[in-house]
Amino acid sequence: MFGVPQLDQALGEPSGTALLIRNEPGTDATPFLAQAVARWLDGGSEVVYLAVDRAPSRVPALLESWGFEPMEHKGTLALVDGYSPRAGLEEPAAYRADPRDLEAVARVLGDAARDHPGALLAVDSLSGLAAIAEGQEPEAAEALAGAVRRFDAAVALWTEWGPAADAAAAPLLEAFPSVVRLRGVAERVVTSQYFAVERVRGKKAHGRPTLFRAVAPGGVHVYIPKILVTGPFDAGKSSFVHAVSDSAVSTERRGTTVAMDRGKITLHGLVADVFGTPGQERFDPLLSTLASQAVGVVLVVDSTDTSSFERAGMMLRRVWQQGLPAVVAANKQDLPGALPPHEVVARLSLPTDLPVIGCTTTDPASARAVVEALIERILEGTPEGGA
Amino acid sequence: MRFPTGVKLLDHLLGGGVPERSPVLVYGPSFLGKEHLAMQTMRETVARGVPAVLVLTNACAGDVRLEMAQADTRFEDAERAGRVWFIDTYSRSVGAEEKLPNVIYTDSAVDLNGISVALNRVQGQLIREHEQHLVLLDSASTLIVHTNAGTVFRFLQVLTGKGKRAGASVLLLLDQGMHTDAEVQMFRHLAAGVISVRGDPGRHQLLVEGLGVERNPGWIDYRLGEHGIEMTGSLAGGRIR
Repeated sequence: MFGVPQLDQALGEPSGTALLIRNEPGTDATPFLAQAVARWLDGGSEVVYLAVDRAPSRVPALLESWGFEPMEHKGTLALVDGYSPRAGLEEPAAYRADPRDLEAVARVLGDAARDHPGALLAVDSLSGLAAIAEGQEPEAAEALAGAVRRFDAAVALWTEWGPAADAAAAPLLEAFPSVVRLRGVAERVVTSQYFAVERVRGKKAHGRPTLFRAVAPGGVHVYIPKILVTGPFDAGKSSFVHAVSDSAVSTERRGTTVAMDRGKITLHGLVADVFGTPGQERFDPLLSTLASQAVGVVLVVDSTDTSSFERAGMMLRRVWQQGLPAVVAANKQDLPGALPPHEVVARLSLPTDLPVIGCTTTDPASARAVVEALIERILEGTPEGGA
Repeated sequence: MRFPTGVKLLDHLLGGGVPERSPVLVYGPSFLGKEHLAMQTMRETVARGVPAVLVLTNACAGDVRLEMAQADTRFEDAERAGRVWFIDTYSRSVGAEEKLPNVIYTDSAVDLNGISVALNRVQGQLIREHEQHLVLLDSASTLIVHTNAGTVFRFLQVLTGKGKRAGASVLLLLDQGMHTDAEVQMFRHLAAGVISVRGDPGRHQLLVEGLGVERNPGWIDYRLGEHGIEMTGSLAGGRIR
């Protein structure tokens, strides 16, 4: 349906699929919709596009913004104007329905399904339609749900504005037995997005969280996220990367890291690359660049070396400015003189309330607990804890 | 830093301006200067080196930025320094195809998530260089007219909540007379304080509630002058003289 293998394999055959893409506010589901429409048209099929959040004349621009040229495809795009009747305007579109009247929308979609057999229905957006048509009788919503079922396949966008909106639109939502959730990794702002397949044709799915970027042209691209391991010189970053990774390599000269340590880890269903940075100040410009590509950060601190804490705080502030989730690993807890984590917190001037977890890299389980805490922070708010 | 409104007496009352990381409701009937107050606050904030993002639902960014530049010579410098951002939900909805730097255009005011995505994009850039910024929404009333009060309330809950985490104070403009009392109460609960305006022919008044004002002087007279809002009442020992 999307040309994204991780998604298409989980969802199965496009024909007969009615998919709801539920996105957290601030995450962008439009590239998924654009990609589904483009692929359907590319295959020579027809698409009926119900435009509620934007005028029908803006739909080609939306598709083009993700790199898809609707006019260059073999199939036909039939627009349903669910936007301008509310404003008393008239836009050129094959169909027209006042979004304040769900029964009218249902009738028009029924006509479109009859006129375009085998078409994909794209709804942009179902949450917008439900908000505009708030307070209508459940029968009207059921009529609309019935119209949705007349299409060969359907994709609808639903921004999650809370349980009240969900409850009010329950009959509409039931028309979409497959569900994909979009979530944002958000410490201060949304810095990364991921999807997880939650339900396939009514059956609960346990899709793993999959990080993606939306780029134009091209649409949705899945990538393996990077976890950055940073900290002052000799804090134990390389040992940490090796302790937490399923496999790892380091580039060292005279016992210290002169290029990045690199490993791979799988936790909570999330597969991630782990990058350890050199701790010397001359590599600091690299830190900002790496942080801009990372999904989260572990700051490794030598709990026995309080003289390094000022430098640790400075490094953390540098990555925190990027808005990334972070945790602090209070390392070398097995050595004499190591400060316990709560004292590390007290002495380390942190820019925010970050978790500080004691560990020792000679005990890989304790180091993995740090990464586990970070991944939980990254996936915070994910249903089923991201599993 | 507080966000100065540029209205001397009001800033004095507020202890320097709008408190940091706080949502503030600016409420009252149309044509009494709510927009003037918001624009003055934006101009004064960016002139002092702090960025601001204005979300527009009723006007094109091109027109508003021109008015701002004419009203304050410091505005263009702030624009050049990248401290001025607009999210324009209006231009595309009326078929205008303007394309200006530091303006993100969304297709309509119905697309609330489009505004969320655009704001997140701007804030992602701002937090790299600035600890604070100001977000202004002109207006919440238009969003409600396009969808419904409950959905807009939830949208604003998310916007103000995320704003706090990103270091933003948020000014929300709400028109009196367009919403039920229950809706207005709902939006008041969202805010850390309210700046209300009211007016009769020949007399305009402003009231501050919350926002850390300890000795509230009650309604204060103001007039809409050439440079926006100018207070004509004065404060003395917490009273109007």
